[in-house]
Amino acid sequence: MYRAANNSTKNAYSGQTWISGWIFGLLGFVLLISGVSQSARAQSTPDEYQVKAAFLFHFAQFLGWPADALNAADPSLSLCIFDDEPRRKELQSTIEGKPIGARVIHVRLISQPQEIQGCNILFLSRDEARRQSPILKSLRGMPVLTVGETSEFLSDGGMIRFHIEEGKIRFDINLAAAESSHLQISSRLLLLATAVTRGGVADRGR
Amino acid sequence: MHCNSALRSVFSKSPDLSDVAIGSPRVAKRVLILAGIALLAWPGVPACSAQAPDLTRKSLEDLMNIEVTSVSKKEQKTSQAAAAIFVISREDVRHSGALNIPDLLRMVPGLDVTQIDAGKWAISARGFNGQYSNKLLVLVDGRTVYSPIFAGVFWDSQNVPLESIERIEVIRGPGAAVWGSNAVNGVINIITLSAGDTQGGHIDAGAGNASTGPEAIRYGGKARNLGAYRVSAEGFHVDALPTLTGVDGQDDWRLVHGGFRTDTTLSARDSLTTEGELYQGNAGEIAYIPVSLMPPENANVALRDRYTGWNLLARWNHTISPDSATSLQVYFDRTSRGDSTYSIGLDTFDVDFQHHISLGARQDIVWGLGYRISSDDIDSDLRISATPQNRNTQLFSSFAQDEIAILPDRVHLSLSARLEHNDYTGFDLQPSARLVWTPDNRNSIWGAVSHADRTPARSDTDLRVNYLALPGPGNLAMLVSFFGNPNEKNEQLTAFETGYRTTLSSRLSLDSTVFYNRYHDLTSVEPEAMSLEASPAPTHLLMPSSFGNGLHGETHGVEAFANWKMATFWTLSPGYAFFSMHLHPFAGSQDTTSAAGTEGSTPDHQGQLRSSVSLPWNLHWNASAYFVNRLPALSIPSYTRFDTGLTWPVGERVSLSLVGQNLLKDFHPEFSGPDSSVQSGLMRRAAYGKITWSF
Repeated sequence: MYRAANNSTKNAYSGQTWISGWIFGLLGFVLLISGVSQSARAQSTPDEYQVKAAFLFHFAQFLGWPADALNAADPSLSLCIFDDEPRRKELQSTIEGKPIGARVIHVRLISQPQEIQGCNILFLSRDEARRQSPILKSLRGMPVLTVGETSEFLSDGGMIRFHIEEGKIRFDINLAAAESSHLQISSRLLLLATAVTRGGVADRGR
Repeated sequence: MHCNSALRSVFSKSPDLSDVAIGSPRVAKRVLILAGIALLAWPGVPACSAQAPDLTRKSLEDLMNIEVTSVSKKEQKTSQAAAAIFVISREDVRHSGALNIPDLLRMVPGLDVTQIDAGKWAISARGFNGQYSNKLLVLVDGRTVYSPIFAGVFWDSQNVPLESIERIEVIRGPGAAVWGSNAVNGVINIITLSAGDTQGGHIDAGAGNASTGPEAIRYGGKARNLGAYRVSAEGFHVDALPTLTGVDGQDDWRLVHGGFRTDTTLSARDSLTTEGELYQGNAGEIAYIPVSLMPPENANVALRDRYTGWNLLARWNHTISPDSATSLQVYFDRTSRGDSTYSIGLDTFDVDFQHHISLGARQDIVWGLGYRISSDDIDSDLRISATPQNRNTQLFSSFAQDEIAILPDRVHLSLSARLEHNDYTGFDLQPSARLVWTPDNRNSIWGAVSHADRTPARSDTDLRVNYLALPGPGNLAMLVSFFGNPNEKNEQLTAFETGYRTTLSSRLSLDSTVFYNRYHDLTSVEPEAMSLEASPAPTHLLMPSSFGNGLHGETHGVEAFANWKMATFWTLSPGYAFFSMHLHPFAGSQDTTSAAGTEGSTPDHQGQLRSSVSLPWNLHWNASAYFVNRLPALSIPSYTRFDTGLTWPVGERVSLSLVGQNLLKDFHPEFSGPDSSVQSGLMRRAAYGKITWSF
């Protein structure tokens, strides 16, 4: 019942000196690390965010923006991410400059939510969860495709949400949000989505 | 895996900063040498990603078939932290088949989790383990469950329904600069799912050869003005274990628990969370204690600790702008606990305010203020008494943390400090400095220097425990007693830590930490002069000891673990921890036993190997082996524990699980009670099954 500071000392502590303790510990540690590291080096699968960037590229292909949303003078299609986005390099390296029809994708780094003006696609990774909700609210009705990852993304008003099932990337679509922003989502994309939300009701797709 | 990793704060409050009381040169050198060797051990860490094939040329269908071996949330977070953090995810909880939080915590490398009897655990990080491990802070959704009476956690009354856990963050090492006093050797932060994530109904029913239950029911819905809510109820019974001498320990443990949580969006900028719980339970033990001052003075008494309590918490989050947010949390907690030798009632009221601001891209600041008042009432008996019987204690606290991107994406510095005032020892400053360097996307190296204090509790200052009565000379009884010391000081730690994490491939990640801790003013037990005492009658000889701050010492250790996805369906997670402690009495201290007793209560070597296999038909098989070296001070021999669990989601709604624990041996002891007067139990081979129905 009581925290007696002196636990009974039935046998004297006869353990190793600190030197042998260190050596033993260190040896085990080094063996563990080097052994494990030797054996599993070769495999390499694509980075999650490089694959997600490729998905973003395809989303842009299968999406119709209202005519006035695209700047006729600017041949780029801008994908915006926050400049402190930890995955920006993977995203940039995968899709920067890739052609979509007559346009090319440009990854634009923004630091303030106000700069979203003029973005065609906005990607918010789960690291942006903190500011996700106010941003999505401010974009309601605007022709910006919003893509995110958190479980609240669609209910916060986002349009496409990534999730991972058994190591593979899947996505859900909030059709109501896209339609209210006058974005046309191709039926091909709708077919591949795991779930499509129409006006708040989720249809279990496949 | 990530070809760049941002080093930003990972926990809502991320650890800490420093008082750089540099250790002796010898020690610093030792740490450096060790870190150097550890680095050399890696046979050439691959540089970041060679140019990848053009993924945009693949079709969507092809992309959907690429296995990305997602770096789980856990690893992403931990890879950015300048602290020894391990996160138990919701999936880990589900696959573990564990029945309670202590069993879940066994998977955390470097944490020392041992079971004392059916309902008691001793859990600590980096030494000083005991039933009341007083240097480990535990929080449930921001509510502290560390007892200010006994300085420790009553694990038997902490019942968070496992199905409602979102994650458990375990930080080894000091977190006091952010989390507050008593986060000396670690912080365990249990975070539950938001009500929106637990919609619908959920029923659990289970039974095994050593337990009944948990029978649990949970229902979540949405109310028009309330937002999402859930309510839950749970009950279980764990059978008694045999003691070391083979008799029934009478330590059976039962608990009923009810709880609720609501999550409401008040406006675009405001959200409100409320939660509460109500519980009642009891657990037994056999203790050899003084029952009278006439022969026979002592007896083996079967005691039953009965406890009950409730608490309510509200947290209001307000977003000022995308770069600035505040949180205000208030809770009230009432607990009472006692057996036939004592009874304690405790009320706690706590207010906590936090403000998080991003200043440009380079600085991330969190600061906060807190106030806590605790009011207790301790009823006395021959065995345990308190002077004064009632006490109100207040705690004022403030903290600030600035995380600075010195080189964005490469070098981040986090400075934090906490200033507190408590009624026992007055003002207390606990600073910490943490630096993390990410030379490339796959590697990160961090280091930290921190100061943390364990503040006295009622048991250190005001309690008297009559431990044993003995026949003395001339028919006088002799009473052996411990007295709290009203002048007890803070136990102090200065900690030096460094860690290295690497992602060798998308399938293999490693995490290692080396630490060196220096402790001052550790609690000792000092013998006092014998005297004659008239009350309680009859007059007897008193052999008193009182607490002092007579010990100091050092600990050091290594903690390492890996996550190795050997195949798409199979993950192996090995872990190892080495620990060494050297305590010494200060000149003037007459405590000759505590040093060896404390040193010998934590294993010098612990190893674990966990395997997680996904089988056809969505079957999932987990197996874990844990090696724990002997505890010389407690006469506990080394043991290897093997636990395994199989979970099978039969359909969308029904899931079955089968779990076996301690499969290698019929019985083994893991720890002895807080003092030798309480009989500890022998862990036995156990199996149980559980069915879960969601609707």
